[in-house]
Amino acid sequence: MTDVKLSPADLAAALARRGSLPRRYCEDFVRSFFEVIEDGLVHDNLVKIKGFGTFKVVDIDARESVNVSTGERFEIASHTKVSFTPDTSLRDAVNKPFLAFQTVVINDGTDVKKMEAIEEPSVDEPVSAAPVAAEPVAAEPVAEVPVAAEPVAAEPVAAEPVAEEPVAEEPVAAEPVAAEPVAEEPVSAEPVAEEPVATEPVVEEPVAAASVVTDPVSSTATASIVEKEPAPAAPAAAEASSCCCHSRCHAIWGVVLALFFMALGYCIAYYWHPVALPEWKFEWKKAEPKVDEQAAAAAKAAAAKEAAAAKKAAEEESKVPAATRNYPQMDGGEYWIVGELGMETMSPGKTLLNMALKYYKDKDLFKYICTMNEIDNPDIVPLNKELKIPELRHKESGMTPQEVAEAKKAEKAASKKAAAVSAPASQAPAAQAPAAQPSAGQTVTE
Amino acid sequence: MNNKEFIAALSQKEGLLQRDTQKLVNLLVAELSSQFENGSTLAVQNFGQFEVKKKLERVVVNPSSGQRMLVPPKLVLNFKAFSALRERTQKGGES
Repeated sequence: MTDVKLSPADLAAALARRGSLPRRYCEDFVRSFFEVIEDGLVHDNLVKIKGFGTFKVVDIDARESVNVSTGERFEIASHTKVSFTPDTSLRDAVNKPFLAFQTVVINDGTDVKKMEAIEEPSVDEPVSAAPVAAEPVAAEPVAEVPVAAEPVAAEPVAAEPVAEEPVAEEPVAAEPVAAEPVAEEPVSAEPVAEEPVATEPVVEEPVAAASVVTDPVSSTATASIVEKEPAPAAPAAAEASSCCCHSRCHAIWGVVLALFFMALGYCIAYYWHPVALPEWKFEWKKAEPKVDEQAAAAAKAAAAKEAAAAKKAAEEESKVPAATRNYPQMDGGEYWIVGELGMETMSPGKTLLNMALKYYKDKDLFKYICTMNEIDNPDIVPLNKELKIPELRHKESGMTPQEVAEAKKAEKAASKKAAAVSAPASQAPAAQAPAAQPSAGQTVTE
Repeated sequence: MNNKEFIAALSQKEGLLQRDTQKLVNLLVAELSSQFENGSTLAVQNFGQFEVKKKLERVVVNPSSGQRMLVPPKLVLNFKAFSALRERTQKGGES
């Protein structure tokens, strides 16, 4: 950005160059331009110029104020002010660097101060390779945190807290996207505690990617187990990591820090996102056997229970469309991913949000695009990345997101007419389910 | 004074056709736009100063729903009238 101070003469010179006009004439024109604006303001109080903006003379009422140094009250007399509102085109041109950003809703659980507090210890980490200390990601399940930490990132981060959660425990989850800066940070945060894990080649397995669950059966199975006994899982994990630390004779603070991160992440996940827990557990189990005997034993025990829960899961599974097995599914989501709608190439100006809006008429469904493409951090999507757009079906009614949106709209209109309190949103989709069912059935048979 | 009136007044002052005046104004606006895009500041004597200012991102709260929103950073074009212009509009407003 050149920070040049222009005068009307400079402007006239630039105009002369642009329109290849005589310079003196341009100077005259520029002067008249502003004089006419001034005249217009004096006589009409308002000047509109297409493509530039609106000048307005605004009256400001008298108001009372306080002299800061003496504390004396005095009145600011009523006066007028010249306001200028740039045209949309000019405003957007000026704001070009930030045009892609949108205002984003912050989740309730996000605490910006807490993020900053956690940030500090991670800076001391000697092994930490990444200079950026936007560590909160590792410890917090809350989605919008990175947005708060990094001013540049204004797009919503995956509202899927699970994706971040496993990162706190093991670097494994971050592996598939290791090229991305943010994904690297969690890795560097924990190397002391999890050194063996990091060295294991098995760790590279993309299976560990947070949101990827290829087998619906096993995911539901583990889910039911974890819900039964989430507590024992934590100590086991903690034990495992502390073992590693001792064997490597690392400094005590490393252990303490690691435990602190784990405990914090676990607590937050448990209290705020109970749903997130199953997946976290799932992660841990997948990688842990290669890490420690103890963990292997724990996994064995879990596997036994898994078998017991498998029956239940099988029953549940019967409701699930067969096509879902071929695609990664999002835990706790409202929709199944049953196919591909098409491909999109990430290019400047495109966001996951407006893709979701385009395909589903619901920007919140960008999470499914993340899930489909194994994107851990929706803030960072490499340029020119080919994205598969998943085809979605509602888990209960089998409707597409568009149909759900329409049903909701129709329901809203209906409730407005009745002037009654709006009924729960799920009723409308249920009512329209029969109509939508055939289309869902088709996809299933495919 | 809307755009049409503005062009009419300007063409009268310059002794040009309105069509040509509009073209020139468009040219000037395009030039200004590209200058502001580069972050330049324009100060016109006896008129005012146009400046591009950066607004940091911030968190706003919807008072009715309590919803918190993160507003992204942005660059805005700011205009500040010089005292000469202020005085003239003051008088014009009163008379």
